[in-house]
Amino acid sequence: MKLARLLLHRPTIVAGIAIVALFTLVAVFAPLLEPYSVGRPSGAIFAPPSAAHWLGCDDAGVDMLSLVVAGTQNSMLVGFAAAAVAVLIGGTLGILAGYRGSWSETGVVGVTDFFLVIPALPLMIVLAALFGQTIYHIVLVIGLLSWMSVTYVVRAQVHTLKERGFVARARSLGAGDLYIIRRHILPHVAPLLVAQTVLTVASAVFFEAALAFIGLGDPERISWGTIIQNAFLHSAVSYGAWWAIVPPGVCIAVVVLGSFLIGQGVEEAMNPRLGSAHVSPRSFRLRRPTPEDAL
Amino acid sequence: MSAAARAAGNGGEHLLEVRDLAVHFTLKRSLGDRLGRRSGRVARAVDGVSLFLDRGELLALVGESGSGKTTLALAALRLLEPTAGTVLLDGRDVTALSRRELQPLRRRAQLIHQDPYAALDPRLRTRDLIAEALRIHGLASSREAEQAVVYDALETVGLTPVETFAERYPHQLSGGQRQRVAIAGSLVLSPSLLVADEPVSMLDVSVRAGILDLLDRLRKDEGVGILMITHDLATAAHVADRVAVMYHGNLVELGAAHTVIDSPRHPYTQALIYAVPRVHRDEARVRTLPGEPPDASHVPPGCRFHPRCPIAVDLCRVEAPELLPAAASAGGTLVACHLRAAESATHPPREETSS
Amino acid sequence: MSVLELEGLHVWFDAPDGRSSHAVRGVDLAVEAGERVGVLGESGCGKTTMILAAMGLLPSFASVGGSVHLDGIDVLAGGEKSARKVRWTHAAMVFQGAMSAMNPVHRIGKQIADPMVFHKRRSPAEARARTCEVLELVGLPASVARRYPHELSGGMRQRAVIAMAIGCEPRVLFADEPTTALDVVVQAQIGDLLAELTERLGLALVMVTHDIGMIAETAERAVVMYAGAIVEDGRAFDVLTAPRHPYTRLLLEATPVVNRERPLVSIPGTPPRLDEHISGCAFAARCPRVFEECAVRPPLLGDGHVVACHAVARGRLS
Repeated sequence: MKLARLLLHRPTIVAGIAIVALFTLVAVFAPLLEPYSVGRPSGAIFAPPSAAHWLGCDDAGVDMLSLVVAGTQNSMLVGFAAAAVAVLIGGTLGILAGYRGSWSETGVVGVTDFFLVIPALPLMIVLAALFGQTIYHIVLVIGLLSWMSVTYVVRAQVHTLKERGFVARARSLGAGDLYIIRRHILPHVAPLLVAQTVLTVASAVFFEAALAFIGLGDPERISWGTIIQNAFLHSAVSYGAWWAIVPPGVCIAVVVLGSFLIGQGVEEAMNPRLGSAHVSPRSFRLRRPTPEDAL
Repeated sequence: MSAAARAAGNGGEHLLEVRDLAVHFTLKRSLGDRLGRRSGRVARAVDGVSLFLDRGELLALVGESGSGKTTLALAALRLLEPTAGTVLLDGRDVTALSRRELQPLRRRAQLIHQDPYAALDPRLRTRDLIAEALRIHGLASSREAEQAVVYDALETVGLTPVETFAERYPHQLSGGQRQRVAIAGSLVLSPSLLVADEPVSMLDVSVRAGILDLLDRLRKDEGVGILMITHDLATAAHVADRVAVMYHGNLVELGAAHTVIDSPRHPYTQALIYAVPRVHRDEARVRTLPGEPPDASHVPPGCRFHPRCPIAVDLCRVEAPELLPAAASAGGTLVACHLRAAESATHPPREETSS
Repeated sequence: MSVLELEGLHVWFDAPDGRSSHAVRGVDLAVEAGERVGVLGESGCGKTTMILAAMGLLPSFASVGGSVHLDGIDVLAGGEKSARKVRWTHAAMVFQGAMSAMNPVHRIGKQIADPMVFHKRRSPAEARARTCEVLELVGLPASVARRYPHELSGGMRQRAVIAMAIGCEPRVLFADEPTTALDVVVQAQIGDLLAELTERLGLALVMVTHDIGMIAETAERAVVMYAGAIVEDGRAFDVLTAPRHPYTRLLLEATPVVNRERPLVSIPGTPPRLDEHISGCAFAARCPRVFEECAVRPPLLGDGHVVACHAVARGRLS
C-alpha cells in the first residue's frame, strides 16, 4: 500500500526497523543463539573478552554473550507487552475523548493529566515493591504508567478525523457512532497506534531495566536490567570488568534508538508537513530542456 | 403557520416541506459579554423559511455564502437541529423524531456533499464506498446481492465498465468520477429525496455538465426530488425547475426557474443576475452592489436587504416583508419585498421610479 | 521591451519515487505594461505553476528550463537570489484565499507596510503614509490598517492583499484565482478593482483563473492553457466569442450561462498524465476531430490571435 512504500523510502525508518527486527529475532530464537548455557559457568570469574568468550564472563563465570542474548528475550517481552497494555488503554481513552467530546473528553483529559503529573518511576517502584515482582506485575505496572501520551496523540488525531468529509458522509448515510469508529476512525488511527506502540516499547524496555537495576525486577528471569544489577552487586566496577556492565546497557540504548527512529519516521510519513521540503533554503534547480521536451 | 408558509406550501402533500424553519446558533460569549452579563449573540443563519419540493422536481436554492442555504438543507435533513419550525417528509412530521426513529428515514433522503475529494474514505475501494450505505442499514443479504446493487448503481451513474471502477481507490479517480461514486453510494438506498450541496462547484467546468445531466436524469427517470444548493445562478438556470433565492437567512424570491432568472422581481435577485459575468454586456450597467452581506449575528431591523437596496423606502427599514405573490408576474413567483409584492398586509403596491 | 517575457519555459516536479512531472511544457509569453491578461484553464493545466515560476516561487523539488525576464531582469538564472530581487518590487502576487496569505497576528497596516520597509527601504513614517495611499486606492477605509485579518470580511481581506501587493509599485501583478473563494457580487467588485488599478497605475496584470466570466469582464487578452502548454492566445473578446482551438470551444460550451440558450456539454476523457511523455498534440485524445498531423505537437500560429492546432492552421476547421 502507499503507506508501506512511503515508509521504506526513508533510510531512518529502514534502520530503525532493522534494529528492532534484529532484536526481536534474537529474543525469539534466544535459546538457540546462546553459545553457552547460562545455567552454569563456562569461564573464569570476570574473564575479559577473548576468542572463546566474545564479551567475557560475569561474576560467576557465565558467558556474557549468552547472558545478553538470554536477557534479550525477557527485556523485549516486557517491552512489547507493556507497550501493548499502554496502547490499549491509551488508544481506547483517546478515541473516546476525541470522538465523544464534551464531558467524556473532559473526564479523560482530567484523568490523563492526573497520571501524567505522577512521577512514573517512583510510583512504579512503589507498586512493584507492594504487589510483587513477577514479570506480569512488571508489565502491568509499566503499562499502567505509560499510556498517557498515547491518549493525547490519539485524541488529537481523532479530533481531526472526526471533521473529515467521509465521516460526515457516513453520518448522512445513517451510520451510528460505533460504526463510524470501527470503520472509519480506527483504520485511520491504526498507523498512529503502531508508531505509538513502537515508541512505548523503547520506554518500557528502559523502565524495566531501571526497575531491575534497583532490585525490583523478576528475580527468576534474566533481563538486561538484572544483568547490570548483578554486575554492580558483585563489584564488577572495582574489578574493572566493564564487559559485565556495558553490553546490556548498549543493547538498551540501541533498542531505544531503533524504536525512536521508527516512531519518528512513521509520524513524519503520516504528516508530510513535519518534513522540511517547503522551508528548505535550497531553491529550485535549473535544467536544460532537451529537444524531446519540445515535441 | 405563517401566511408565507401557507403560500409556499400550496396545500397538498409534498415530498419535502419546511414551514417557518429557523436555525439559530448561539455564539460563545466574549469576555465583554460575560462582564456585562449579556447573553451570547445569536447568529440567525436561517430565519423563518418555508418551501416545498415534489418528486421528480429539481429546486435550486441559490444564495451567496453566509446566506444560510447549506444550513437550511442540513436542517431539512435533520443533520443539524432546527431551532424552530417544522420539517415534513412525505407529509410526516420529522422535526421532533429521535435519532433512532430517524435512522430508517435516512434511507429516503440523502445528501450529496460538496467536496468529492474529502467525502470518500481514501482507504476504501469504490465498491466498499458504495456498499457502505447497504451495510449500515443491514440491507445486503449476501455478497452477490450486494455486488449486484453496487454494479447497478455504477451503471446508473455512468461509471462503466463497472467491474473496473468497482475496484478503484479514490485517488485513482478524477473529481467528476468521485462525485459520481458519491452519488452512486446514495442511490443504493433508493432515496426519494436528494439534497445536493454545491455538487459541481469543486469540479472543472468541462465535467460539470456530466454531473448535472446525471442529476437531471435521476429526477426524470427515477422520479427523485432534488434540492440543489448552489451559489451559481448559471448552473441553476440549466437544470432547475424552480429557483429559490436566499439572502441572509430569508427567502427573497421563489418561482419557476426561467421566470426568476429572466424576469427577477426582487432587487437582490436582480443584482445577482447583473453581477454574473458575461461576455457580451449590452449597456455599461453598474455591475456591483454596494456594501457587504451583513454578519449573521447582526441583523438589520426590517428588511434585511434594505442597507444595500437601491429602491428601499422607510417601511423597509422598519418592517420585514413576507414572501408573497409578486405583482406583474405571470408565473406566480413569490417575492419578499414591500414594493414588489402584489398586495401586502399593510399597504398597496407603490409606483417605483426605477426598477 | 515587454515588461514580462517567458521564453521556452519548462517546469518539472520530482516526486519522491523518482518520477518527474512535466507541469509546464515550453511556454512563450510576452506581456506589455498596462496589459490585462487572463490565463484560462482547468485544474492541472499548469497555469498556476507558470506564474509561480515567473516569480521564482518554486519548491526545491522543482526544476526549471528556459528563461523568465521581468522588467529586463533574468529571474531564474541565479536561482533563489535572482528571484528574490524581483519579488514585491518588480512583481507581486495576489493569492487565492487571502486569509492564508496574511499573518493572523499582525495588523493589516503592518502587513502592508512591511514589504515597503524591507524591499524599498522606506522609513516607517514613509511606509505608513504610503499604506494610507494604497488603502484608499483599493477602496478600503484607513481604519482598516489597525484591524486584524480575521476582523475583515472575505472581500475586504482580498482588497487588503491587493493593497499589500501594489505597495512597492511593482510593474507586474500576478493574481492566482483572486475571486474564487468569494461571492459573485464581491467577485464583481474585486474584478472591477483590478481593472481600475491596472489602468491607474500602469501595471500589467496576469490573472490566472478557471472562471470564464472573470476573463470576460476583467481581461483584455485571454491565454488558454492545456496540459502545460498554451493552446490559444488572443484578445479576450475574440477568444471567448470566436474560439479557434477545439479545447477552447468545448470549454466554452461546457460553461453554464445565465441565459441558457443551449444545453451544456462535457468534454469526454481526462487530461493526459504529466508524468508520462506526451507525444504530439496533448488534446488529440479528446478532440472531436483528429488528423494525421496531430501526431506532431502543433506550434502556436496565427496573426494576433494565435492557436496551436494543425487543423486550424490548415483551414480545416471553420
